[in-house]
Amino acid sequence: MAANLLPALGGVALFLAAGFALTELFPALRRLSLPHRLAYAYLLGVATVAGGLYTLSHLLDIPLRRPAIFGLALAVAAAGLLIRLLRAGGRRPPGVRSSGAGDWQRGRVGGGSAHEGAEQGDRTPGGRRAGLRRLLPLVFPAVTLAVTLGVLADAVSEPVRDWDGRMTWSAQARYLRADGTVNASALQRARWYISHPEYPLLLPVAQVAALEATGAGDDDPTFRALYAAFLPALLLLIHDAARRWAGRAAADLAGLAAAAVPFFAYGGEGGAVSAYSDLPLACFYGGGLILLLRSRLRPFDGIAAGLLLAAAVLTKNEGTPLTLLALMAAGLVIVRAWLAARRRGAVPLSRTAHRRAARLIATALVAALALALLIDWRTGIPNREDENYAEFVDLSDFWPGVVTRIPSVGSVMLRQMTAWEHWGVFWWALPLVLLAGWKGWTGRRRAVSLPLLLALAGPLAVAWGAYSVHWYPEDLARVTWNRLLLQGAVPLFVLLALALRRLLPQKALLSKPPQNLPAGLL
Amino acid sequence: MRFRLSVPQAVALAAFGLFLATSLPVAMGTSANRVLQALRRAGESPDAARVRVFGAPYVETIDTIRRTIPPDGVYALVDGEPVEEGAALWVRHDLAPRKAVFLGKTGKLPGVKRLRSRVPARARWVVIAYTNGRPPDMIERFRFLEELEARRGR
Repeated sequence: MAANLLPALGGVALFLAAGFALTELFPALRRLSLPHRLAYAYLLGVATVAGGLYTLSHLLDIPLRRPAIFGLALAVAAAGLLIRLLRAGGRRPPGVRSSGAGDWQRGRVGGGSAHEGAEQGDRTPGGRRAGLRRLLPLVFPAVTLAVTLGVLADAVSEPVRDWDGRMTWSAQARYLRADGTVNASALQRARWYISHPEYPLLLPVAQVAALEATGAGDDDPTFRALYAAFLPALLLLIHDAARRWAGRAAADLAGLAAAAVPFFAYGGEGGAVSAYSDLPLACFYGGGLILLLRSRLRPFDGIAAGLLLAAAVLTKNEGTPLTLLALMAAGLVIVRAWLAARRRGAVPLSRTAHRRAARLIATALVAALALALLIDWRTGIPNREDENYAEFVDLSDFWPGVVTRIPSVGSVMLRQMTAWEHWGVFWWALPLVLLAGWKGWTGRRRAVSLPLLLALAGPLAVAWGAYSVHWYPEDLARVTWNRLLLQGAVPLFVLLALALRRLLPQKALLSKPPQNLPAGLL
Repeated sequence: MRFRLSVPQAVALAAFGLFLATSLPVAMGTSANRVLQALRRAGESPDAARVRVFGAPYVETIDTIRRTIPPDGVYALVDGEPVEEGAALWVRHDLAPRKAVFLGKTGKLPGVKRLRSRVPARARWVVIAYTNGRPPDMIERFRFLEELEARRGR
């Protein structure tokens, strides 16, 4: 393992370093605690370095080789470092702190969270509750670290052996690497046997970049660390958003729940130990969504959300509808604010709403560029060995399958959700928590819970649509349902955290009752 | 102030606690197991890992085919299994970036005349893929077509 560890970590470090420097550009990200910032850094690193290589290779024929890979990673890192130097040279507003591990230790994660001040005073009571209060914040990082080590250990020591990894993602990466371009001849000539040649290739490009950068061979399993590293990113994204909107105790519990779901980490067909693109999509989609739903962001931060959603578009076919949905969810927040302002007879759009709208436009523009790239790249590829829903599906095909297939497909979905090896008893516990804690979604939290519900509905709607028209819906549900649930993991677990917040003894775990939260929370 | 839970809230928290109590130890155990396994395999080369996972006969045959067909070469691929088990997909992955022309499953191959027109002139070899660790067969194209023709009694 030791021999494999360096190339594996080298591949991850390539994206992490570039992305970490890039977070300097975005005020919303550079103020995060170190672990949360690292999560966004990794996602931004993959989005910009692999996305940049995708663009350069397709538009300018720049080979997917070391000069381009290191050049781009260094350029991204240099941009971030430059901003840091400029900021260090300029005046720093009082009270703006740099990120650091200390924030995590102190429990002051989440930067501008309204709970920050609340939790500082929450240290005095003794007894069992105080013990729990001290213990819980340590459990989530410890479990995240342990699960991350487990999936990384698997990644560096086992060859890829899952279905889609070998059928599509890793196979495509080999063709790309050999030709040094995303316009590989195997994709562009119809006679060659390729599965899903029009699938977006962000992750295969990332795989090529990692292998080229470390000089590893095609059989070297170390590229799998790229996929494994998305697991801690997912857990930290959930924790960051849940901490912000539901408080730390609920965030710790929601994060622990996500870490405990067997499918996310060890699901052989879609989890972190596989080479499927569903976990990366869950991270890009969830990360972009969370950034869009935060209120205290500058319009420029919209570019960070745009980069993450652009990566979602370039990661999987589902990325495009999910990105549209994330934009709609953010638009819903603006519309609700506008309606509320009108009801109050206030100025139609407040400054915050203007900033939200500017941010949304910036995000949409970046995501639209990625979609344009994807469409242009696909024009040179004859599609084959693919379901190609767009070609054969007509709106009328959804009826009556969308209703009549509920019993047969629904039973397959239920079987998947109640499979102990995939979910444990998660889907037995979740409805009870949501039913008992649904009030956690109401009041001020409605501004985030409604968009989150809409965002969660996205992957489920994609699933239901596909199951309604597919010729073998039960088989399709059997192999995709868990993965589609994974794609909606961030909104799902943040909603869980909001519900848990209502169930937890607030005095024991939070010093400030939720109804007293300041207006700037969202 | 005492914090009081209603019955539904207590049941919900208990169910959530049950989930964590049953799944977290499994997650920790699995993680520890993977780390220990990886440590035991410290220093193992990627080739040795392939042999361990896919079996020596399969890996040796794949390596032989790789030596025979250059990376920019092409070949014809046949799925030797009667039902879809991914045999052709795994072999195609392991032989990539060599490009494959897929002819179909052995039991459902079209006529020899049609096959001849489908196989590119550059493809000197036909690879027949199987699952369950059985190594693929590599047959020269003309021999494959001859045998197929003979089997079909023409």
